[in-house]
Amino acid sequence: MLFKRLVLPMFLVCLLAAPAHADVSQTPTSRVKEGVDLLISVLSDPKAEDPAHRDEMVQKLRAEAEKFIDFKLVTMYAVGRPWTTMTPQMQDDLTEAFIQLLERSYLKQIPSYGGQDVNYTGEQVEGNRAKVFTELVDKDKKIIVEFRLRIVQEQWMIYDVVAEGVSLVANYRSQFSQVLNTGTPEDLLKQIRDRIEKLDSGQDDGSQGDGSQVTAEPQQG
Amino acid sequence: MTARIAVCLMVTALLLMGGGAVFASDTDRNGSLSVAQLTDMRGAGAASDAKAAEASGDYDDFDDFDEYSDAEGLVADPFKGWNMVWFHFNDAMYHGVFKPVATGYAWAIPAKPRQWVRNFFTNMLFPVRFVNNVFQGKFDAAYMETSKFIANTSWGLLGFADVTSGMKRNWAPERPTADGFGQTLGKAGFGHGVYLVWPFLGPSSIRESVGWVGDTFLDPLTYADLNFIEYVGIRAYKNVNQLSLELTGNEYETLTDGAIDKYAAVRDAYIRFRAKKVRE
Repeated sequence: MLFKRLVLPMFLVCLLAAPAHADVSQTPTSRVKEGVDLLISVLSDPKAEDPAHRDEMVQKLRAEAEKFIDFKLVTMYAVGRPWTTMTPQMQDDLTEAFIQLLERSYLKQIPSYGGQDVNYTGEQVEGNRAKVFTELVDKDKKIIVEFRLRIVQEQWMIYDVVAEGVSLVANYRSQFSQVLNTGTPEDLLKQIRDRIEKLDSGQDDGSQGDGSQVTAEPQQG
Repeated sequence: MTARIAVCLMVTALLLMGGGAVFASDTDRNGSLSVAQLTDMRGAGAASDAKAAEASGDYDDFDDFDEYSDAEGLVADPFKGWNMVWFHFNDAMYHGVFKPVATGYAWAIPAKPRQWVRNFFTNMLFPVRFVNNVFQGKFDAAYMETSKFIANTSWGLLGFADVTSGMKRNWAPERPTADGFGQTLGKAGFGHGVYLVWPFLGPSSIRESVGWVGDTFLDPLTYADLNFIEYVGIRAYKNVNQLSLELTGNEYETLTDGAIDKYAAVRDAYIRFRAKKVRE
């Protein structure tokens, strides 16, 4: 009797409580695949390379990307521990600025997309985190790309992309931490916005906000 | 030839012994990092992540940040001033000289001949890949490289054509082939020592610089009857030719365009990329 009274509810509790994450209907791999396929279909649109439709494409790409990438999480990891002491307003501002920076630097690479094949080679799930391993196969080389995901609101969301061992988040963490170690979050925000401005004005030379003035010819093409 | 290899080995061994103190202090300073690298090498790189995942749960959890806690102080950089000067010099040279030259060269010469030139230089560096494959115990890759070298040098007209690129069986090894002596040293357990940036050559470290010296002994170009200017000219031409084939979307620009601190971005990417090469 005792057995029934105790064990059955416990069993039910386990069944209901433990796999709280099992609600997630998609596997991490299928989630990444869906995102990548969508991205490729947007990029394959002939409009993607037409400068006249640039703004429209940017908005479309961003809307699609936000369904699969949790940019707030990306920014949080890139900022690191100082994130916890920032005001929500600052967190939002940084996230927005960071999205714009990524948008600009990666959109420039679109013309280099030449219909590479994407192979899904495996996945690793640990609790509410996962890694999805892929290979980008080009004509004569293979690039190993790893996606890192986390469950956010019952869905797997991408928060990092690791290409050939180089993590996007860790790479920005190494840059942001230098600013945050000596400066304030406002300084970081300003530096990101300055960089965006530079990319927008097409002024892409060797100079940086570190005081050293290196001049180089502006590039065309 | 064998005597030369022996000399090269002895020189590198001496250099490494000299650098021993530096490596020792480096491992002391970044003790946790070396442990992480070691576990990674054993294929258990997920261990630290798994720990982080266990402890996670909500956004504000401090343990959430552990996954990237090695991003700061990834490598010792005591010569930052010196490195910074050469980094910005190289960056300005890239944007101001090499890229415009490569763009003009790509405009003048069709892609096919440029690929032949690249194939030729790649084929010529066969001894570097072969010897390091053997050192690293990648005998399958060493065998593959030898087959490729023989086929491309004979039927491929001294390597200008890559006759084996389309063939799957026997030519593509399971593991990527070795890329140099720095990688071999890394596999043997040597750390980077300190981060260094060389003019024209780019990011490096004590270990990778020793690796370059080792690779130079296996590069046929070293034994060609050339004066210094000719040697540098050929090396520069090789690099411009390579750049002309990757003008859009190359790694360097992808990395630095969106960076707020190019120096830190390249340093982080370089160290992580080398770590990945050592693991594979």
